[in-house]
Amino acid sequence: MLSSRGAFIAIGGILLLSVGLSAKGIGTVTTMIPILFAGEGFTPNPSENTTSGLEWLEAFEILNESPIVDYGMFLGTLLVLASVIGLPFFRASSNASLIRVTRKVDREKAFAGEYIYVTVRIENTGTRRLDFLEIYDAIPDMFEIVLGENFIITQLSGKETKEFSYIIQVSTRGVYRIGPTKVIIHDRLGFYFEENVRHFYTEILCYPSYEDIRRMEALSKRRQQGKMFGAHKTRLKGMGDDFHALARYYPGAPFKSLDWKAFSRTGELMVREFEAEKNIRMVVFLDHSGSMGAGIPYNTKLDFAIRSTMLVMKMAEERQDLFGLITYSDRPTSFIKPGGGKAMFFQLLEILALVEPQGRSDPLAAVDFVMQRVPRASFYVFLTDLESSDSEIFTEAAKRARSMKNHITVISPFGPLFETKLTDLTATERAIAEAIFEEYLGYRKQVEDRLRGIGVEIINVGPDDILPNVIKTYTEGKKIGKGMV
Amino acid sequence: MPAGQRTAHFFRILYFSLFIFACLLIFFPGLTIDPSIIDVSQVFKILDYIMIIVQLLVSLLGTLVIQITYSLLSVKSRLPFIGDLAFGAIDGSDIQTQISALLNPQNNLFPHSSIATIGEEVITDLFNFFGATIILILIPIAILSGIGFLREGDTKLAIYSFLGFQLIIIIAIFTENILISTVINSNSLLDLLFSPLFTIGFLLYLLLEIAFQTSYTLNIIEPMTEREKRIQGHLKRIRTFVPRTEEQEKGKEQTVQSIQSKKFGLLASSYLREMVERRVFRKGEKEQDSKSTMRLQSYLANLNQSDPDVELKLAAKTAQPDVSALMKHFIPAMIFRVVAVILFSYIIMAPEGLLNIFVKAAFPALLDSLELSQPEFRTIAIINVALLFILFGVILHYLTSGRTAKIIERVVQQIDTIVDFDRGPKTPISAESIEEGKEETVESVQEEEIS
Repeated sequence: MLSSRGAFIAIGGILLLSVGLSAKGIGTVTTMIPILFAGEGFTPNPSENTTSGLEWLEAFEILNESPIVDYGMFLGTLLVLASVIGLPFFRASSNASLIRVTRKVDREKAFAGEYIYVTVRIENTGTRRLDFLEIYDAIPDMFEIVLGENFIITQLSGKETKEFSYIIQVSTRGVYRIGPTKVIIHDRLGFYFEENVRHFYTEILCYPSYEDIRRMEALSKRRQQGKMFGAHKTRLKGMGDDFHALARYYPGAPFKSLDWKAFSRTGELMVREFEAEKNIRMVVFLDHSGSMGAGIPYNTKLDFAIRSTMLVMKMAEERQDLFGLITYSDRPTSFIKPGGGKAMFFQLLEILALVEPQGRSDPLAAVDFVMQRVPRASFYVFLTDLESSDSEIFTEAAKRARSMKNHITVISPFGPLFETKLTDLTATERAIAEAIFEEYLGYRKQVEDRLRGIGVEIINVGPDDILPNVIKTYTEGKKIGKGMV
Repeated sequence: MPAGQRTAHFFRILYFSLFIFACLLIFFPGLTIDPSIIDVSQVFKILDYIMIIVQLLVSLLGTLVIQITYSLLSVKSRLPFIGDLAFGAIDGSDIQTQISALLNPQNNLFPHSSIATIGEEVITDLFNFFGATIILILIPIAILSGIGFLREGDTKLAIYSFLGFQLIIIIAIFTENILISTVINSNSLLDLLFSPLFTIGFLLYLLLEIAFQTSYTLNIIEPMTEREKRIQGHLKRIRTFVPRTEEQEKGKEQTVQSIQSKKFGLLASSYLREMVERRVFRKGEKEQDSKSTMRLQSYLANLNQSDPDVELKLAAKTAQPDVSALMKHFIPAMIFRVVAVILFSYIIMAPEGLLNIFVKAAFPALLDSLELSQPEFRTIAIINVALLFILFGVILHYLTSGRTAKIIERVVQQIDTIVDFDRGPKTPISAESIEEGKEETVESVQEEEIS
């Protein structure tokens, strides 16, 4: 209610009043002491020797008649009054509950790195004027204000409405809340204030960054313009429309596939072969156990795994493959059945936005969960660091999946590569890091050997090569026809 | 110059004028304070006393040495072959003699003329010393804080300045170096207003009040004006942003490298190569910045299409305080406050008038009491008045918050319900409609609470 400034003035006033009273008090004491000691009042006797024992007290008697008493009292009165005189007017006019604050955002879902335009509207529903109004709209730490400010200092007449805006940039995926909003009303002199916190929030769902996909789209545009070479097409023969190659005629080949021009040119019967229209069914197993959260903030193993998943899903969507996703830690946490289309892609983005590293990893439960819901052979791509689960459990999960003729590729972010850069370390630290590397590699080697035996491919990746490896795994799988529909 | 800045300057000038006036009134020789109080020599006079204290200590130590020497001599007299010469010439005078020699008015060391006035003179010297020292400290604080306030607009500095001036006056009164009448005459309001000490104290208070008003203006107008300017600048930069093409960047860098290599030889070129490499590393960041700026540019362009006021809202121009209203309310509010403060101060300092009207009939003896003129009574009066203001504030807040209206509304609703109940339902009410009714009531209450 009373601000520090108001309190300062009031306390100053009280102090001055005390000075006045003390000055008066000292005088009183000087008159009282002689009474106490001599049994009679202190009456200066001119005939008495001036060097009497009580003479020193006279020095302080000056205060008893001093104008300091009056001046102290006067100033104290002035300051105390100044600090309270405006209070009734302030209390009558400032009622924070009469201020209506609303917030509007131009979108409630955005990709990391995108901008959101926030508009705050303040309305004084009362009839009295507010001289000094502060509004603070709280934003999460993850958001960065790129333009404008999230607060305002202004005045507001009765029934008046004002608006201000700011643009924020969302840096990482997740669900965030903008709010609460703090309303502070001051009086003109800053002696009093009323504070009110409005607990209303705007929820923003932030998808993982679209930057990788955008880059990929830019590359594909260049490819279309003939600037890039090496289009990735399935080279399997089949009943498609795209011409694949000429081949020698073999008995039983359909007559309609005979190429008469080639026959006239070469004198041999040749048939035209076409590329197969192949689609694959792919399920990405995204491990979000606690160990996946290790790494540099916002560039953890999980973050890279999410980026990779997004990228590969986008590619699958464009190539009309069926793609599904399961996220799991100690149990399956979300699942999208293999399918296609943009709507599903956005569903997937929502899941990826909410994934957080937690708990241990149970790939067996995830595999069982998927196999119950997707009975057909599919291409399983695991994105796991293999650190939060026993190798036996993973082997068992792989065996079960393989028993149903599913193809499995494990893309495994290698922990130490995400956590340190060898070049940044001192010689001692590097030696320790290398020892840790060796230990990790030894463990991985064991797991790899065990899984290779059952036809599971494991690719160890670091932050630099995880994206290319995931894309390569998908394109290779598509070429070979893993999990073919 | 924008209107906001003009207003801020106006308040600064107002404060500055009053500040100069106060300084002149207080420090101009012969007006308020005796210039002798600002006497630097008074500060050094204390050194004389320090010298005496030191000499007294030395004398005391000398006496101790003498006593020890005598003891040793008594031991020595029993020893053969050691004569008095071994200890040199010993002055046998005692400490009383030494102190009396020190305090002798004829002695140059002692700064007083006679023993008889020593008490008064010591006290006067101490008063002068403390007065001069404190005032020499307070003067720069008071003046520099005032100037600092003009520069920074920080109210703390204005408060320091105010306190500095007030303490200077209090010290001047305390050391009896004040030239004006120190009687605050509260016989009538006019007498009070024309009491010189009241006038000075009040002028300083007025300076503080204007400082607060100035601070308000500076706090509310200047940041908003600067914010608008800053954001308009950002917007302009974003609007006019044109990314450099790769070819432009490349060509420029190559030219620099080749020229520099020729000029400075191998060592320089290796250094430059390193710099160029660093630049290449930084290039990624630059590209990123340029990309995000371009993205922001297009985002703003899209926003502009949907809402033409986007830029005004971002620069908070739509929420700028109204300067004319500010000026319109400033003068009446200030006059009202000042008049109210003077009136209430007068009532507290001279309560007889008010008590004559209200209390005389009931408690005539109270008016005859000597205590009315005592500071204790004023203290009690000010506490009561302050509490009354606080109470008024609470009551007014309660009345204006709309709670009373809500309570009345609820009471009326309850009464209506009772009346309806007495009348009895005309038509049978189904259970569903009762439920609906309940829900509606709950919702409306929530709305009220939210609003």
